[in-house]
Amino acid sequence: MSNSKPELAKATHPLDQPVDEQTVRDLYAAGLISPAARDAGLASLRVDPHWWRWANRSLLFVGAALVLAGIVFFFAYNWARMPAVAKFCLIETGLWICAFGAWRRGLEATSGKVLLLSASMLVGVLLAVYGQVYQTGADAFEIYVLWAGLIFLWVLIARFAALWILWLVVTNVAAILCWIQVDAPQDFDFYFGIFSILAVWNGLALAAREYGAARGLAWLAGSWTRHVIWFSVVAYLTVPAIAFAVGEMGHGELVGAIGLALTLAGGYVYFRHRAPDTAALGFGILSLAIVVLAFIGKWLFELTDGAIAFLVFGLIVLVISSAAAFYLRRVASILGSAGEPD
Amino acid sequence: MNEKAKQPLTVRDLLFDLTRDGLLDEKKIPAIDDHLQAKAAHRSEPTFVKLLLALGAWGAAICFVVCLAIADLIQSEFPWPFAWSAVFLVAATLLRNLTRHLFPHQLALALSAVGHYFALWGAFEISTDQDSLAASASVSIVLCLVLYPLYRDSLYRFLSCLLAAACLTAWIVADEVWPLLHVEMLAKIVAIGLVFMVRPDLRVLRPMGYAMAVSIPANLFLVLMPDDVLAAPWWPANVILALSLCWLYQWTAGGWQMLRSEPLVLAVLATVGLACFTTPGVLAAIGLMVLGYARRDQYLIGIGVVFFPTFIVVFYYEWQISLLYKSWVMAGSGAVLLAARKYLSLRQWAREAVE
Repeated sequence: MSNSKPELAKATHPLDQPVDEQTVRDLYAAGLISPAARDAGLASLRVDPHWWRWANRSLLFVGAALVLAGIVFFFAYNWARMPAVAKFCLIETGLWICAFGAWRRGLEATSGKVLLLSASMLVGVLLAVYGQVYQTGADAFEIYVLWAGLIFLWVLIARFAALWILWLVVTNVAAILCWIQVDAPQDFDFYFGIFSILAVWNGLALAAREYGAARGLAWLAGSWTRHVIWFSVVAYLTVPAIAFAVGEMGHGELVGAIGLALTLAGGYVYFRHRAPDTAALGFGILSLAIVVLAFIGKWLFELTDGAIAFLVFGLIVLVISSAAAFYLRRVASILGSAGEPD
Repeated sequence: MNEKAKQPLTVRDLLFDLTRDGLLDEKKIPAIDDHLQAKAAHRSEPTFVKLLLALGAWGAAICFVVCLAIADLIQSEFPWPFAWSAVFLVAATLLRNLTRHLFPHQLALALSAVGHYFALWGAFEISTDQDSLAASASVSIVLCLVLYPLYRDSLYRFLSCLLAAACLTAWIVADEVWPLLHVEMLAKIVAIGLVFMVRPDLRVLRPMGYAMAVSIPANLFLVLMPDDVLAAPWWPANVILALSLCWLYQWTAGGWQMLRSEPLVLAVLATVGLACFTTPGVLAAIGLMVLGYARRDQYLIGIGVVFFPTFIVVFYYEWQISLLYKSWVMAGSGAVLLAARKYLSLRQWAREAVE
């Protein structure tokens, strides 16, 4: 940690921030640079190559997303006049082109990773069309399980966070559909069980992400992966905890509430001290505030109803949200930009 | 390309270059440093803190309104809702401006929300069924204009602008004046341009700019979601957005004369190509992301990034056009962007930058 502090100080110093047009204009407006210096500054920004790198990546991601959306829309249309064999040929040709392209470009290149992500999406499209054509009567969750299984090796070799998150989403959808479409396991038939199971599953994914990022896997280090997974863990546990707070005392709610308490305690220690991250702390505190308010609201409206209960509850909402915001504001100012990793 | 050239230019790099070229006195650098540090110290607080504050104030405001309704303290006849609205808004403004602590600020935000509620209620009470939404839109716009300079809180300013935009859109939809959806969108784009491009130094206007950026998707979703009753053509939105994007390109590049440069000719051609057949949501998302990147504004980039997939999902459920046609629109738009990228990859200057 100590080795990183000078780097952190350097990175957060205003002079070491990327310069933009507004900064140059601000300096001119404040009388700190001359008109000639302003014009030279703006001119040097315009030829800065960062624009082309940004455009290159943005065109790739947005363009690929639109083409994939177009393919999904096309097969969702379920064109009756198109023979089934043509549909399969079309998808499989696209799949092979993407997979071959990824191999040719190499998985170090962003375009190679995006091609492999596209191939993984096309596997899902292929399975959906298979279900359309053959009407096998299989439950929808089986398609998602198969999808997750078929692309698993690609997920492992791609070293691409977006593909990893796609795989996680597919497994989450598979589990939810399985819970809905299949009888819950014996002795496990509580209603909110699926929330706890998914929280554990996503918690394992988060632990893997943190372990990988700590071991220097740069492709996992983007903070968005942490935030997406942590938010899902907290959200999955908050739902049963709210139900528990308002008096639903089933096993699932109890497990969810205990799980949330343990998760928030662990999350606090980790995101406050081990890997400071104010946004992650914020998710936890928002969840805690909601559950506490649900509990107080239940108790208050049982004690007394009418205008006074709403007035008091409104004030309590303000107190709790102010306290949470005060704490987070303080933590954010202590951590500075270290709390918002890139 | 060396490693340094891959990094974005920093302020320190720029100042070094200017000093080396004799355009800046080295003695001014400490003053510039002080200026930038003072600016950084006034950086706004994290988004989730603002979200928490807004949610808390909104929840409390609902409780207060229900409390007043149950207690039967508020008469619905004119002018009582407006009188109560004035009381709450004046109290909120004073509380916000005279105190320095978080809880009174939160209480002020909740009271201001209650004040807005009573003002809208009053507008409904004094109008007929036909013009109630027009009245509420007018009231919310007037409140926004009056209180924007008085109530010195960025969160309030953002929310009141968002409310005014939402009321205006609801009125346009209810009165079925479809062309006004495009006019409203044009007005929002002009406001965004004013805030982020013409007068970026006026930070007081930023909340309005963000509110307009957040509310543009509502216009586009309504343009996109026509049924038998709600019918608005796409093309005016596409024309407005394409022209706005071209204006954005020249602003980013440093003037209209730069549009003759090869990269910008390509950008304009791709934009015109997209505008000929794509949906306005794609152009709007691209515009927000480009403006956000040009301004290094994470909020604008975030709005664009969130809007893009949301738009695709909304487009999927659009009612009048077949999925087959929509698939061509989506895939065609993507193909235009990928073709532009392919062209870029063949140019030496772009290849060097990327590598």
